[in-house]
Amino acid sequence: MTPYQPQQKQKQQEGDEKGDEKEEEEEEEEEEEEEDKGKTHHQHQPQPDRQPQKQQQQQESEAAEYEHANVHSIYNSIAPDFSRTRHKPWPLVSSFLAAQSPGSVGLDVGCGNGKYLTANPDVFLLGSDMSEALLRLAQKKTTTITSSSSSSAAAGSGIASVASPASASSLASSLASSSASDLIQSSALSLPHPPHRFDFAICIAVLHHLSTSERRVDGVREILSCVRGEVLLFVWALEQAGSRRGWDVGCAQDVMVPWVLKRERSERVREEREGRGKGKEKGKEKGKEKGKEKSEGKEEEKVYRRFYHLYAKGELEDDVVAAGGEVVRAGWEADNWWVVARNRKMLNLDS
Amino acid sequence: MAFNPLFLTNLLPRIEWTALRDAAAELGLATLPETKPEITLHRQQSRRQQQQPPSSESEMEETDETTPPLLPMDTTSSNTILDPKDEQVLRDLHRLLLETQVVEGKMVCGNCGFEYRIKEGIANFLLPSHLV
Repeated sequence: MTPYQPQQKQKQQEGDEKGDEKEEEEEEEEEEEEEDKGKTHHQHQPQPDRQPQKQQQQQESEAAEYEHANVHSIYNSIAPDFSRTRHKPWPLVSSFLAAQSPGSVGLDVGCGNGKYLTANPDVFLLGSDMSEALLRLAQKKTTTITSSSSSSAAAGSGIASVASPASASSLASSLASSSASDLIQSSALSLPHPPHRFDFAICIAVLHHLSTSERRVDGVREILSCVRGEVLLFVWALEQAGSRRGWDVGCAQDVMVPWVLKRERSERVREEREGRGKGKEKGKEKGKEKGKEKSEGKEEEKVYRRFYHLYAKGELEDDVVAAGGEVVRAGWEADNWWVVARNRKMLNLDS
Repeated sequence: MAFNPLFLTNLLPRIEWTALRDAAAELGLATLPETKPEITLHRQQSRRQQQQPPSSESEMEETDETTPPLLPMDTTSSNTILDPKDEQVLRDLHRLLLETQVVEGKMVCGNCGFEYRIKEGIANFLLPSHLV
């Protein structure tokens, strides 16, 4: 098995990262995102192809630590701000979910704020993510606690159990799920599921956060191993000349992408949420505050940088094949490459 | 989420019954039947069925052997007839699978004994780095 080796053109690209987060086209949030003067960073060099096993293990754990520092902890820090720009489902993902039969059970690997967990109420989705902060936001979205007495009801003691049958049943009556879904915290590289137990899976904007080609292939393999049907994968594309960033063929593929978190802005959001906002028409208010921000221009802001691997054309397909999968269909959409894949083992069983 | 017999009936083949039953018993919840019930939704006589008479058995034969049989999307329960006993089983399942959550607790690996904590309704399957 030869993992895909991306072109290692490490051209420095000054000013490449013009904007910040924009792999999702969320027009109405555009003005929330600020120009960042950061440079492309290459702190983490992708690993060479062959190495002794011990060294490989060490590099694996280095890569894991690197991703913890440059992906997971970043998402924990920016979760609420990030989540506000992540509410519009991508059409291809929605139609993939809508095409699943009622009663089928699927995985949403790297579910983030859980925007797809409620997309099709006739399927059960198990969402997983590394970031607890994002999982909590997803939880808010998918669970309605109808009684406040529930929170203290269960003090865990036994194996997979709540304190007593009595509290368990009171718990049952006070939790109303608004969707058929559940959430777990886990790594895409080590999913806690039996082989081929799930009907389908989606993994949207996740694999590009893995920092070596080996790990990206492993991620695909891990997801394929849990599923007997189709898997939908979405990753950020290198070929996005038309985007604000303008990356394209020949640019470096391993980049640090800034997320600007402004203190004033998050305070404003909190005020709005608590109903202490000025209660003006939304459009007007937005325009006005944009102006205000520019004129003041001195809010406390913090830039968080996340690691991304930008996929070149054909790379995701190659990863799928390297992971023992077969590409069912594939394409490019809105600065992302996508693939619908199946496990070759399952294809053999079917025929 | 509203009670949806079609959703639950299709979910049934995917459930590892003993595991669910044991977990429910440990939680002191629900009285699930000892063996997995076989529930089929019978459609009410409709024009569609008069044209295509196959019974539910023959429909099942047509489906792939590796995947559990799935009934076609029929949305509401209004055009299905459900045996009252079956309906009770499905209602119990609905309550258990969709309306019940372990808020605090732990899951213990049957092989190595490692304890995975469930905190505020979310189970943590991340292993400490020395176990990876």
